[in-house]
Amino acid sequence: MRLALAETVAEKIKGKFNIEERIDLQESFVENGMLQSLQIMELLFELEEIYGVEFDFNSIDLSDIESPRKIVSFINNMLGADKVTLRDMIKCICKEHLDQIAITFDAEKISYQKLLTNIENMVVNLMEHGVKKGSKIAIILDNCMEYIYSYLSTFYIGALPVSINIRWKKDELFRVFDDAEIDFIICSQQAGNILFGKYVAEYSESHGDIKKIFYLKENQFGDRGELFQSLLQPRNIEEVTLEEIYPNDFAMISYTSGTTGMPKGVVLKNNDIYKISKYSAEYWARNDSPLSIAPLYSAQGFLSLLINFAAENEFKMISSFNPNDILKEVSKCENTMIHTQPTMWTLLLNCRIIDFTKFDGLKTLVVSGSLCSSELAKRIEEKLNCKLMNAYGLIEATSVVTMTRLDDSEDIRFNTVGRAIPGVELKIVDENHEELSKGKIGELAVRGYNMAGYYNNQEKTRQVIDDEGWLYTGDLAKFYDEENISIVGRCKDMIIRGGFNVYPSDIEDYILKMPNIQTAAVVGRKHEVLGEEIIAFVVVKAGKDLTERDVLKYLFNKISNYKIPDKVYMISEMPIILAGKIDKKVLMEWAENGIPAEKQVLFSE
Amino acid sequence: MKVDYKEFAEFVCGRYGISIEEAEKADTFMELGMDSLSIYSVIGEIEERYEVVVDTDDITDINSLNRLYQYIRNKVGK
Repeated sequence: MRLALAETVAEKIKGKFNIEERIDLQESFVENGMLQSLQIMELLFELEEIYGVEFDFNSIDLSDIESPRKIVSFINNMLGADKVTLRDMIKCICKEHLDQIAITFDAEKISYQKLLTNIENMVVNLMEHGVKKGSKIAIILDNCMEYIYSYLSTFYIGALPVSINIRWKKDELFRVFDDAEIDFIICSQQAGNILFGKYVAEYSESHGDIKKIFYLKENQFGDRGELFQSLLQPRNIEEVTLEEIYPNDFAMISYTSGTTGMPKGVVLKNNDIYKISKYSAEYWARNDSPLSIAPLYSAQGFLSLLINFAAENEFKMISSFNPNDILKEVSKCENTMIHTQPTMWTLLLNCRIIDFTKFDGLKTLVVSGSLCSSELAKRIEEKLNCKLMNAYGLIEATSVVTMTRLDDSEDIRFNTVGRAIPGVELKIVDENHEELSKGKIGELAVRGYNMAGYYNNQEKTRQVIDDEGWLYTGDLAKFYDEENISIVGRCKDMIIRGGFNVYPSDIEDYILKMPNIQTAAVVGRKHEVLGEEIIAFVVVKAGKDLTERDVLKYLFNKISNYKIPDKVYMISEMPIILAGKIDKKVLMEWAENGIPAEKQVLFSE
Repeated sequence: MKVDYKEFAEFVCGRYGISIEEAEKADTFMELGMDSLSIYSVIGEIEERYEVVVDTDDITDINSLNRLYQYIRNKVGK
């Protein structure tokens, strides 16, 4: 079930007709005389084989197939690419490879047959418990096969998984449950360090509209509790009547932030997820066996799950995030691609056993999730002796927006985040959303696979997506050349710490709840391993005493551990710009270079 | 330079807003709600304060107050 890529067609042309020069993907090879009609026919015959299509040569117009981009568009149309849903993708891929291994999860190897059987069993059992198209199912689990079954069976039904960040504390969890209007929950007693079971029990006690809770080991939920294992009991998919799913139907809700204040649940659509998965798979892992390291609750996690599944070639996931365990797994040389985010890459490179790790057979490395500096990119390539692909995206755009390609020059690989993937348009704009000329720095806006919106939050959605469907990313970028872009900074108020997106307002809102606080502001500061650390500045009310320790102690059990400031500075007053707004640029400068003496608050200990 | 336990413990615990007692009782920092990333953020300050260089590879093992203290003490020398 491949999707055609213009680059692949161009490669085919070069190989087949011994053409050495670079082929422009948009240019008509009829007009530029590169190919004759007979050669085009030969090309199409080969493409028929590759993509499993049949051209009707009697009715094709030359103008439909006169460039790689046009051919690809035509083929993908024939393949019905615009109509594919996640249910289609799951069924089609599994049925095409039944006897082959689909996933290796820790030590367990699971065939496509077994995967499909378990998914369909789970579909029937879930539906018997009342799950239907549109049901919202919260999933609170560590990385495990049960997570993968939960995602895939939910997509199959047309219900919406709502993955829960296993660092969230109770407040944050309940706020998301409320906002998403959760109907069902799949959870284990403990995930990460948090005993979610008891929070779920507490929430469901006061929320009779939670219909069932599927638990992994211990029933803390009375007669609404059902053992997860029972969902895998053998059933027959014919027992149920599935509701039709349409390409633009909602597929899932992913909460990005605002877990204090108003949570923002990003709603993603079926066909968009399918296309991104398929296109990314063509670039990342064609004929490759990928290994992605990411938590399944995160966008990075579930999207790499789907992209790697879409690669239709045995992929691996492991439950451990310990760099030593990961490198031991890599040494088995069962994978040809490794993908993770910059902080994890740094931890892997700093691991002593990396010098004893085998990297035989590695073809591709991928980094995504936050900005990978050119120094880190170089280090990765040198250590593993393999080329690195850089992917940029954001969950509001479903995920991948741009990617470097494997055959890009070093310059492009190390200094850019690549160019748009098929179906994505980009532009760089100024504060008035006017497009800037190439090379100028401005805000990156994207269009193509944007979210349906934030769940039940038209207002927040309109703040980021305009009437023409352009999503304003909040990232500062520029065109490095004609097509590749570089991310140079951020204009949205967000910090990426160790791969986690942290919204300062989440932390500020909590600090402001403390007694004796006048104002608080949170900014990021560069950190070698974390990417950025979280720095909080606090102004205490006149005459009151408060230390860094008091603030940290207050926050400690209230917000997720990854949001806890790495440093808290007490200052005498905030730098202000017009209209009383806090000047975060100055705070970032203070965080980097030190606070001016007259603004510091000194304590006698 | 000598590394005084009480001063070290107060410094680390103060950074995280936990009491020395809690830190001594817990087997690992994780139990106190920290994660491996939190440790990276305090290492920089420890390096500066005690004039040592911490091998980031070692961090996965030095995940409790006592182990961290022993590690820094050994690095600094008696």
